Amino acid sequence: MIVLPAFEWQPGLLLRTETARFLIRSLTSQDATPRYVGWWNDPVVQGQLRQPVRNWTQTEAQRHIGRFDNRSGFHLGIFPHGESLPIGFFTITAQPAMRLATTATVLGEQGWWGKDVPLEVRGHMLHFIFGALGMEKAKGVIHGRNLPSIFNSEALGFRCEGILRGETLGQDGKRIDAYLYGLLKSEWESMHERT
Amino acid sequence: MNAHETARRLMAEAFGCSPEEIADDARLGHQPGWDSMSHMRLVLALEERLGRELAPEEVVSIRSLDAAARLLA
Repeated sequence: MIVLPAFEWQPGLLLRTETARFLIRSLTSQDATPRYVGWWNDPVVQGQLRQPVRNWTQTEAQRHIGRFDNRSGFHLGIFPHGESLPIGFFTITAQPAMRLATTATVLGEQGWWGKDVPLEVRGHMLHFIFGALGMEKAKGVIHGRNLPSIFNSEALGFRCEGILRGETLGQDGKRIDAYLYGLLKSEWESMHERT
Repeated sequence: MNAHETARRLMAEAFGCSPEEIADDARLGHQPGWDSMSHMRLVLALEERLGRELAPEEVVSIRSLDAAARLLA
């Protein structure tokens, strides 16, 4: 018997769901802890997004969390079961008129790198994106030769739709390619019909 | 050792298994041991073998044993 993932959510309200290893839920201002703020100020973590450190205070981090309305924008913390602090976050930015959602995964706690967290979280959230959220395409951008991220996208069935040469600037000032990955709902449904 | 055999050996080393455990139709997402970190090891091993960095289009093409072998041919 196939058990579909469950998502506690109504438009505009906090989202909550669980995978085998993690609780995934909407972050609130109370989640702007030193750990969370530290990720935005860590060059290694921000390097995942090819972004400079933000030098944020707690107030600025709270302001960032507050930008997500849990209607078309979601900023979801990834919490290992039984732990009160997240190890990273998963962001969904939906364009309802286009039925298109852009996703991003950031793992702030480096001890969880290489443990297939994005694979588990993003794979789970695709059920929400193509289901309750009503999207017809999901996409993501990988900045630079982030080989594990390329693997994670390919493993979930995303296709590389293009490579933008020298699209962004790295922290070292060098130009970096951007890999565009996309997954259509029809493709995702076909994959799940076969399993 | 031909390109296919070399690719199989590099894959086995990257995935931490024997070459015999690499399926003839080994594909990303369907080969035991092929995870995000072993994929990174595989790409780096191919580049070391080739003596150059792979182009972005080549990086995203590495989805199977056959694809890895084509890069080495």
